[in-house]
Formats: sequence, C-alpha cells, structure tokens
Amino acid sequence: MAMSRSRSRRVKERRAREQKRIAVIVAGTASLLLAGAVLWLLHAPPRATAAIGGPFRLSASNGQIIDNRSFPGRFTLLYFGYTHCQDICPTTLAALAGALKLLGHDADRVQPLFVTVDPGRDTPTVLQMYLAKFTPQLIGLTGTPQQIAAIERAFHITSIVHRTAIGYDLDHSAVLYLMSPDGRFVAPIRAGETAPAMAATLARYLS
Amino acid sequence: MPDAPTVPRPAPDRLPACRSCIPRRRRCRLTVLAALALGSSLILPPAGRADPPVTAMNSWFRYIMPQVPAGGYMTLKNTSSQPMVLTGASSAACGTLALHRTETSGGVDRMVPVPRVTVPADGTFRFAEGGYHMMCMNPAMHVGQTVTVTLSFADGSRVPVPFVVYGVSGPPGSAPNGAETGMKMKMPM
Repeated sequence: MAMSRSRSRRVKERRAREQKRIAVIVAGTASLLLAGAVLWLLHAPPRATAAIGGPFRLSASNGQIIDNRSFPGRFTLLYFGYTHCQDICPTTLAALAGALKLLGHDADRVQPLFVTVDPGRDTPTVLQMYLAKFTPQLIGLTGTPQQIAAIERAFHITSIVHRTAIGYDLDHSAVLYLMSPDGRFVAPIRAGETAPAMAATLARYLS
Repeated sequence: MPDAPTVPRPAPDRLPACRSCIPRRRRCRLTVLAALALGSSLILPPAGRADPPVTAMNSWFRYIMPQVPAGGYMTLKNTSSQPMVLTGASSAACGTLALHRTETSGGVDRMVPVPRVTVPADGTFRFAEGGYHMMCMNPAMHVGQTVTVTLSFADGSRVPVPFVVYGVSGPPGSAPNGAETGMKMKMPM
C-alpha cells in the first residue's frame, strides 16, 4: 500500500517534470520565433523607402544639366514646390536656408535642390533669381512637363493644378526628401518645419 | 483727445457758471472736457473719431521679387464685444490682394481662397506662416519699406494697416514656422 502510494507520487512528479519541460520548450520556441520576427522586421528593407527616388536629368538654375549622379559623395535634399506659392514654399525655403547655416560645415555634405512642379512658369532664370534670395547653396531644377512628371512619379510627389480667379495654383506634397550619396531615400522632412527642427534632422544623418 | 485742437474754445460766458463750483474744481474741469467732447462730436463725423475695434499687430510682407506673389502676415485684435468679420483687403502695393489659407491634408499642401475671417469678440486672429495669409499678387514694394493695406469688414468699416516689408527671412529673430496648423504628413507608400 505504502509502496504503491510512493510510486504513484513518483509518477505524478515525473509527469509534472515532463509538463514543465514541455512548457519550457514551448516558451523557448515561442520567444525564439518572436525574436526572429523582430530581427526580420528590423532588417528587412522597408518597402516605402525602397520605392522613393530614381534617375532624373533636368535643367538647373545655374544653367547646367543636372542628373542624379551630379553630386558624387554628397547627400541631396529635394524639395518640390513652385515660385508662385506665396506661403509654404518660401517659409520652408527660408527655414532650410536657416538650417544650413545652423549646420555649419556639415551643410557641405548636402546639396539642396528645389524641383519645380510648375515648369510652365519656373524657367531656369526665374528659379535662379528666386532661389538666390534664400541661399546661394540652393539649385533649382526644371524641365519639360514630361520630365517633371517623371521625377514626380519617381519621388511619389503629388502635384495638382487648380484654377483660381486670377490664374492657377498647385497643390503639392508637403515634404522634403533627404537622399544618400548613392541615391537611396534616407529620411523625410516636413515642409514648414522650423530651421532648428530641420537642422536637427539633417545633423542626425550628415554629422 | 487727438481732435481737441480743432474744437473751438468754450465761450467765455460759460466760465462764471464754472466759478460757482470752485470747491469741486476737478469736477468742473470734467464738465468743460465733456462740453468739449460734445462739441467735437457735433462738429466731426463719428467715423473719424471712433477708434476702430480691430487693430493689426506685427503686420509684414515677405517680399521676394516682383514676379512672384508676396505673403502677408499679421495678428488681428478685436477690442469690441462683437465679433468682427474681415471680408477683404486691398493695397496699392499689391495689385490683387486676397485672403488665403494653406491647408495640409494627406501630406499635400493646398492654397485655398478664404471669403471671410471672423475675429472673435475681445479676441485675436492670427495670419501666420503655413496657415492664413494675405496673397499680394503683384508686389510693388521694396525691403525696408512700409506699405498700407486697407482691411474691409462686413460692417462696412475699413481699417488701414501699415505692413513692414521684409525679405525672405522675415522679421529679425523670427523662426519661420508653419507648425501651428498641426500639419500631418503621410509618407507615400
């Protein structure tokens, strides 16, 4: 009687040990799977970033033809806007000029580009006169409507013409793109950010 | 009392009445002032005398070049107990001058004409970068100049406001800021 009771206790203990072992194995497998998933998410290239950017070839405000390989070893910062946009574009460009000043020597590592979404009005000469008011570092890019449409597609830029009582305006994406020297998308900057906020974002990648 | 000099002096025959209240000299003086005020209100049209209930502060243009529109900014302050409705603006230095707003939705900036703006009673309304602004279509001005903008209100009043003309970086010490409209940006996927 006593023997069988102690055996049944042993059986019970063994069963408990087995259950514990199974629990440990299950928990271990689960955490390994979770860690794997986290690592995969961290290292897999985010689909959104892979799609932004691409080759382009446009007329620049400095009279040259500029393409995506014109600035070897340097980051580029692209802002899509137009000169007749009287609020957000000059506000953003003034902030950008301020940010470049705040960055000091680090600013040499980035070429700011203003790509017009209004090639009909923004000729290289108009862009040159306009951008020179903000900072001599800025280069303006324009082209045929087809060329502009192509770079807008490559950078996922929206620009929609809407008629007004006295002409037309363009609705356009409120974003600047920081691109790496090898042409990959690095980070977005929101249009209308303050100069210190822009400088802080740029410094993270340029210094 | 800026218009006091234009008011004729009270007739000397009023002064004896005044002397009768010598112990209350101050009140007497007030009576004279009241008489002056009454007199001036009879002489001058009321519009020329009343201070406009809406005043503009920190009004300025960002002037870039004559070929592109200049953006105008200001803070309107309404000191009356009635809301004041701004319906338009004009300036000889602008050609067309319109009330506008930059609206951001779905990561896209859009310029929207604004038919009217209500300045709340005893409150303020701000035209600021990245939000409400004045669109000065054909700017004829130069940096450093002050130009006059006339604001028109729904009650028929017109308020002339001096705007200081600044270059691209705006008033000194100001950080270009469009953040206050709470723009949200969606990344294109």
